[in-house]
Amino acid sequence: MKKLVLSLGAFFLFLNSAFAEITTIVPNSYVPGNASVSYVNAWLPFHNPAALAHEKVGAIQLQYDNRYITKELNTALVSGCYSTKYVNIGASFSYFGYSVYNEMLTALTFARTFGDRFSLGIEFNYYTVFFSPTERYRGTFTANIGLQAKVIDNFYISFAAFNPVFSKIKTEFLDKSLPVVFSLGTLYQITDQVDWLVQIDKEVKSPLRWATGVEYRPFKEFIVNAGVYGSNYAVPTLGVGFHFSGFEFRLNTEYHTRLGLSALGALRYTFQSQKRK
Amino acid sequence: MKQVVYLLLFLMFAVNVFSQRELAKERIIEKIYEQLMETTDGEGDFSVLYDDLTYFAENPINLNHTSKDELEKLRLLSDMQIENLLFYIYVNERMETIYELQLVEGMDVFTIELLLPFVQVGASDAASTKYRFKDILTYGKHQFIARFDGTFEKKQGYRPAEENAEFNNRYVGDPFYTSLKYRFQSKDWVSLGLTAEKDAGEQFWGTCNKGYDFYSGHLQINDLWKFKTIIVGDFKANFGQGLVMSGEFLSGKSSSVTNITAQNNGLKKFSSTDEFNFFRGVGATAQIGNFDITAFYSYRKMDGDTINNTFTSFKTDGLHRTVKDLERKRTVGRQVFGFNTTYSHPKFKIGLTTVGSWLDATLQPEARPYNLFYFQGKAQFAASLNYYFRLYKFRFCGETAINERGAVATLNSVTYSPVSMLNLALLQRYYSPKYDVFFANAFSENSKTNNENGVYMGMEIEPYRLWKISAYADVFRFPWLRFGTYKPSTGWDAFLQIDYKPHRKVEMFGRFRYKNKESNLTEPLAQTFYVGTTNKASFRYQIAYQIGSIGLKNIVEANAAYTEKSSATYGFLILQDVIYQLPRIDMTFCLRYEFFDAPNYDNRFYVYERDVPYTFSSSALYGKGSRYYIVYKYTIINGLTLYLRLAGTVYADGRKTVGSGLETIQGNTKTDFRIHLQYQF
Repeated sequence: MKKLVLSLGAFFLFLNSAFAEITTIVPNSYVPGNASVSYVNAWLPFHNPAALAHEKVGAIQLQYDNRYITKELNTALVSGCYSTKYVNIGASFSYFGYSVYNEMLTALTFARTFGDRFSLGIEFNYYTVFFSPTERYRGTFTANIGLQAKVIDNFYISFAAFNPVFSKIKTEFLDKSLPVVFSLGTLYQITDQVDWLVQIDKEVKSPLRWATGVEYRPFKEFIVNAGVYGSNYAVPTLGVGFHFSGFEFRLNTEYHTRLGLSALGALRYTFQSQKRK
Repeated sequence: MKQVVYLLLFLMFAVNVFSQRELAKERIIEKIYEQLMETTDGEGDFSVLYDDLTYFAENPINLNHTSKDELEKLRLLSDMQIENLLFYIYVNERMETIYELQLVEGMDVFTIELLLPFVQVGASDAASTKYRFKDILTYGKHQFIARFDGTFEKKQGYRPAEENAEFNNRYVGDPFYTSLKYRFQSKDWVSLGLTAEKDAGEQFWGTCNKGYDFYSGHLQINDLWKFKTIIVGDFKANFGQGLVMSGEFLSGKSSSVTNITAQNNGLKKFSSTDEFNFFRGVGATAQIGNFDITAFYSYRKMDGDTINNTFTSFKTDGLHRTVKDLERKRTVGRQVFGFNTTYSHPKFKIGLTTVGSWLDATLQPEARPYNLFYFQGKAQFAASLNYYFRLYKFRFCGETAINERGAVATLNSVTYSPVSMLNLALLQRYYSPKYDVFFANAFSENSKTNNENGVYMGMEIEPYRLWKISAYADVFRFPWLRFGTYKPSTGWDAFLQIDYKPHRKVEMFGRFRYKNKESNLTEPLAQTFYVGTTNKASFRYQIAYQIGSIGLKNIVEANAAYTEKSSATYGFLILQDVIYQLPRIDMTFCLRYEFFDAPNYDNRFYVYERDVPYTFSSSALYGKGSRYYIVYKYTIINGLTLYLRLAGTVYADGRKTVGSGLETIQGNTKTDFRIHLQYQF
């Protein structure tokens, strides 16, 4: 059992370094190039919590993500958010893995705008990992903070820090540090239909990751996006989205030259209400 | 509810913003700070500059009634800009509005913005500077400052003696820094200051020490009869270009690429807690016609490892934390006599400086090839001639000095502005290896002003409005060995910065810097070393912007360091600053969060950090990790201001300890706090 635990630990550590990204803990997003820190069109749980401040009413979302067509590398996510007069509130839950090894992340998020150009958000997370039948579940609290600033018209700069408190889980056999990630990115709204995102992420122990992507909305009902991110490898991403009376369906794919294809599907429903902030 | 949510969010994200004046003060210091830190490896005292900027923030310079000397104190304008500004006022008789600054030749939008908080336009026949004793009390301001610092983690030096066998030593005092300051300032006429300080690890009261470890005081009176300045107590002195005498670390390479000449000459009060770099005695500057005549005398007991009335070097850190430190405390007496006379004419200035220093013990550096030409003995003399003159659009400036060994040092510069959008600077220097003078601190690549010659060229151009390009190149040669470079060596340094201000509240720059320098290198597994080139290229992008009362700044910096025989290592730094000032109440928060990844010391980063007033401590960042700080400022009642600072570094490169020797901390984290209370009335 000890060997199994150590092997699994080593495997996931490899995944972390091979991806040089935010690790399996944080679910992927459908944002082009995964350059999500400055994305303002929707709140993406576990990414930049400041984006929640832009939600006008409320929404629920389901997301399913499979990495490299490997059945053990699935992440399911469910989230919901609600806008109030003072602060927007979001709740989310994600599950990654399978019976022998799995990780869960639960979050409660608060965000609000200050004026029409600046928003702040904070997310309180509880991370749980199932190591083995003997170790069972271990968990720890952490946080995710972020801001989005509209510097000039059509141009945003955003920042997010995941786990700035350096939370980690200690067991008898493993000492698992949660990733500590600093993300900085920009959004340039080239036209009403075209957004260009650029981002860099630095996990404290890993190499720098860069990302960029373009989202194009030719019609109200249709979205297409393309991007690329990378560290040691460049990973292209391609996605489409459909929008009908409150429902939005997104499909995103990415291709890693060594590890293969990943796919993500998300369904989001935005409440229709007269209430506006 | 609304207030609670606001407060919670703001406390969570701790932000700050200073008033425009505070911000401008910070940015002026920041402009020269980082490059200086790299040259001096973290040493540097900005208290005089900070004092001057604080004074001018509260008492803005009246541009219609100012002088070159006064404008030089800001260290913001180049000689050329000062001359042009004074010329503009002379030709137009007065400035009607501050917006006229845009019409002054060579004055760019970036400089004007920094200048605005410190200047105003008033009557050109402003009241005379003559004052009576009654005025001193009327305009006088008192200030009390108390500071308390500490580190949350326990350092090796504070562990019991039995745990310190390896170091054979431990600190004799408690782990807290404390200082008290009192100041009285009446306009620019009178300044009185007293300072008492104890560093962390020093004993406040016990068998080794009674009371504070360091005391300092000064009384400075300006514009009294024929005297421009009279100082009693602790002071600093700057003359010419610093070849003989300069107490400040402010001339040199910086992003103000054509602002290369030393400014702000004369005697200055000393009110810092730097325990080495000042004089103690009396001094005065008298103005007789066009002559300024300065003389001063100082006697101080310095720290040194004295054995049989000889010592190898001065101990400059001012720390007396161990029994060994205390044995070296104030063991060497040093007398200094200085004299300067300067003749000023509207078109030129010429000055003569002589300085003599006498030690009561013999300075005898350890015999090493690199310090063959270092000063040895008890008595040292140096004399220099400095000049400044204008010829058409050229401005010439320089100083040539000689010491008691007949060694020569000379520095000469010319600045030229053919058109208003272009400024050029050229500087030549030659410092003999034998020119080792205690108080020399001139433009140089080395931290010492000796054993160097070189040529510097700088250029500033505004190709379009809101854009500025600054560049310099410096080639230098060290004709004799240096510490860490055991043969004569060469190098060069290049700098390019492009500033852009697309919006009134947004400004950004991209900066590229490259340095090539020779130093000792060792091959892996080799027992010997050789001298080879080390190279470092770095790029920084910085953007600062303001949204309402929230100020934000981002820095992304990357560098590559490599030597002749080793491949490049890459460093990376990313930073977010958030600054917020609560409306209505005088409360500000400043938060910084940064990640650094510098695998080697050569990849290290220097980034200016916001701190409590009069404190400028920042060390190099290297290794892998993150750093944060929060500075909180709150004006409790009118005049009483509290500053709190919490700063921490968390290393993520697997290290088990932080620091070395008695400063070693077990673990990967270092967290410092600072409390600063200031009362002014």
